[in-house]
Amino acid sequence: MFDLTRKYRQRSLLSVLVVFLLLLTLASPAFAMTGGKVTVDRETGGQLTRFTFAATTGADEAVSRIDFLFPEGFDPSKASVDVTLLEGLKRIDAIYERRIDPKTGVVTVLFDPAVPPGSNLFMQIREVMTPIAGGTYVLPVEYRLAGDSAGAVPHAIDGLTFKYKTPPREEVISRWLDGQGWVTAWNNVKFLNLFLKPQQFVRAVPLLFAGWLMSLALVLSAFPISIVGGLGTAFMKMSKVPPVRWLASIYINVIRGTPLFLQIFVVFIGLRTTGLRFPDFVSAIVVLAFNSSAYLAEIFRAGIQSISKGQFEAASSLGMSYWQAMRYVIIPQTVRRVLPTMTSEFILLFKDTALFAAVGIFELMLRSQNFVSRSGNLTAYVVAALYYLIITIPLINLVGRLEAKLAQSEHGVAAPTSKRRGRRTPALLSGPDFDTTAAKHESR
Amino acid sequence: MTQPVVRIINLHKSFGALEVLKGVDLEVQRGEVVVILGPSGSGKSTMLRCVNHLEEPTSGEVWLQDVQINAQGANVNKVREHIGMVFQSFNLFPHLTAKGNVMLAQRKVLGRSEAEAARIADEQLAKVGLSDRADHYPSQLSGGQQQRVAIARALAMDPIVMLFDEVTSALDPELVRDVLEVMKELARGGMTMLVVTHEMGFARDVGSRVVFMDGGVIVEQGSPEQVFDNPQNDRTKDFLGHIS
Ligand SMILES: Nc1ncnc2c1ncn2[C@@H]1O[C@H](COP(=O)(O)OP(=O)(O)O)[C@@H](O)[C@H]1O
Ligand SMILES: [Mg+2]
Repeated sequence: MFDLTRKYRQRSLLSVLVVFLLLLTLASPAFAMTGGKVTVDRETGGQLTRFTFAATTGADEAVSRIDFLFPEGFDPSKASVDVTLLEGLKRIDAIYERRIDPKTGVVTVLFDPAVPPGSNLFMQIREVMTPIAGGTYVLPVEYRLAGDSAGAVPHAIDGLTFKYKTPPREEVISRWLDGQGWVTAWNNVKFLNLFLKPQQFVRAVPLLFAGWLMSLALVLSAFPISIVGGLGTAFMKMSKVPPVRWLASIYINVIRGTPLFLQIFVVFIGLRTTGLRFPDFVSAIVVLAFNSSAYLAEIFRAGIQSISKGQFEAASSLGMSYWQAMRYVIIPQTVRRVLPTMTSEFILLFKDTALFAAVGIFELMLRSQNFVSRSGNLTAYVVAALYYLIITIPLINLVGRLEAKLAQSEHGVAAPTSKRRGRRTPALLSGPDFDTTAAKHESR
Repeated sequence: MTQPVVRIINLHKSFGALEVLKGVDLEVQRGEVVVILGPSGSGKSTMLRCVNHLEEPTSGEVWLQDVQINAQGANVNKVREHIGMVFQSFNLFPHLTAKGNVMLAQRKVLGRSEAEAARIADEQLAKVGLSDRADHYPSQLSGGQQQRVAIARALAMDPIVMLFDEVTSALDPELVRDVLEVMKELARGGMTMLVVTHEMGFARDVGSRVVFMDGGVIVEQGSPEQVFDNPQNDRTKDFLGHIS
C-alpha cells in the first residue's frame, strides 16, 4: 500500500518532467544551444572531480565542436570525456574526439558527424583536478556549428556556474594520509585498520570535539547544582525534625537505589508524555543534578559527621549559632575531607553523561556512535575514549594526591615522639570529647 | 551580698535511665575561683557543661547573673558569648592559625572589625606567651601551646566567667606548668573561674573555694584549707587519701 503510493508519486513526477522537457524543446528559439548546465560530483575542492554538462542544440544548427575553458587553477590534463546524445528520447551514437591543452586548461571535443539539431547533449568530463579553494566558479563554454567558417568567432554559452566548498583541514590531512606509504602499511594490519585508522582518526577528532564540549557542559552545569542540592539534602538528613529526615532519606535511597539510565528515561520520556517539555539540555542537567545530589548528600553527611563533636562544641561555647558553626568551623574542615570523594563523584558523573546518547543528546558517545555507524570503522570510539581520558586521568591523579595530602595532614600531625603520641592519641582521636562514632550535628 | 555570677539550683541531669546529676546547688561570686574535685564519673564535666548549656538540664535552674540559660526561649548563644570554656582536648579549629582561632568568634559573634579582632588576638596571645606562634596552625603547636591558644580564644570574648574542664589532663607533665601558670595569672587578675582539675597544688594555691563531688551531688565544700586539711566527709577523705 505504502509502496504503491510511492511508486505512483514517482511516476507522476516523471511525467511532469517529460512534459516540461517537451515544452522546452518546442519552445527552443532558432539560435543554438539552450538549457546549458554544469554540475560537479564533489562537495569540496582539491580533488579529481567529474563535471557534467547538459544542453540542447538549436533547432536548425548542428554543433561540430565544443570547448570547455577551465578557469585558472583547474587541471584537466588527465581528464576523459564521455558523451551521451539523445534525439528526442532516442539515444544516438556520438562519434567524437577529445583534445586537451594542459597549458590553457581547455578541453575540446570535436564531433564528426556534427551533433544533429535539436539533440539533448550530456557530457561528462572526468578526473579534472580542482583547486582547493571553494566558491562559485564560471565555466565558459564555446561551440562552433558545422557550417561556420574556420576563422569565425565561436558561439559562447555564458554564465554557466558551478560551486563547491573548501575542504576542512581534517579532510585535507586525511587525503594526504591516503597517499602515504606508511599509512597504507599500517592499515593493512586488520586490527590497526579497524581501531586506529589514521584517516578516520583525523576526521573523528574535530567531529567529536563538539560532543566532548557537550558532555563537559552537561557535567559542569549539573555539578555545581549538585553541590548545593547535596549540601541541602545532607542537612535535611541530619535534621531534628523527623519528616524532614525521612524525606531526605527517601530521596537519597530512591536515587541511589535505581539506575541513572532509568532516571533519564523517566524524565525524558515520562515528562514528554505528560506534556511537560523542556529543552533536552535542561532536562539532562536536571537528571544529572538530581542524581548526583543524592550521592553528594551522603558524602557530605559522612564528612560533616566525621568532624569531631568537640569542634562543634568549641564553636558553640564561643556563642556561634548552629549555622555559624557549620559555615565557619565544620564545613571548611569537611570540604578538605570530602574533596577526594567529591572529585571521584565528578569523574563518575562525567562518564555517566554517555547515557544521554540513548535519548538523543549529541554528546561524546552519540557522536562517536554515529561516526562509527557511518564509517563502519571503530576508530571514532578510540577517539571518544581519549576525549574522556583527557578529563578523567588528571582528575584521578588529583584524587590520589588529595588523599595523600589529607592522610598526611590528619595523621602526620606533629607526632615527633612515640611517648607524646601515646598520650595525645587518646585525647585527640578517641577521647570522650572526640566522638569518632556517630557524632550527630543536628540542626535546631 | 552581690548577685552571684553563676547560680545552679537543684540541677538534675539524666542520660536516658542514667541519672548523672542528682540535685546540685552552687553559687559562684564574682572573682571566685571554684575548684571542683571528685572521682571520675561523678558528674563534674556534666555539671560544667550544663552551665553553658552544652548539656540540657533535665530539671533545675542555671543562671548567669540575671539570665536563666535553661529557661524556655532563652537566647543560649547570647549567654554563651559571656562564658568562656576550655576543654580537655583543646578543640582548636585546625583549619585556622592560632590568631585565626582567636579572631573567628570575635568577628562573627561579637561583630568586631578585622583590625580590632586582630589587635585583641595579639594581646591575648601575648598574655599566654604565644606571640611568636600567632601564625602557626594547631598541628604545628605542642599540646601545651594549643591549650594556651584555646584559653586566649575564650578570653578574647571578654567572658564574665571561665570554665576549665581538666584542661591539663591531656598534656605531658612538662607542659602542664605553663598552662597552670596562665590560669593562675588569670585568677590573680580577678577572673571568675570554675575549674575541674586533678591538680591539687593548683586547687590549694589558687582556689578560693574547693567543691568535692561524688555520685552526682556536692558532698562537701569549703576553703582549700578546710577541705584539704580537715575534710569532714568520708568520701572526701577517701578521695584525698588516694590522690596524695
Ligand atoms: N553524653 C552522654 N551520654 C551518656 N552518658 C554520659 C554522657 N556524658 C556523660 N555520661 C555519663 O555521665 C557520667 C558522668 O560523666 P562526667 O560528667 O563526664 O563525669 P566526670 O567529668 O566527673 O568524670 C558518666 O557515667 C558518664 O559515662
Ligand atoms: Mg570529666
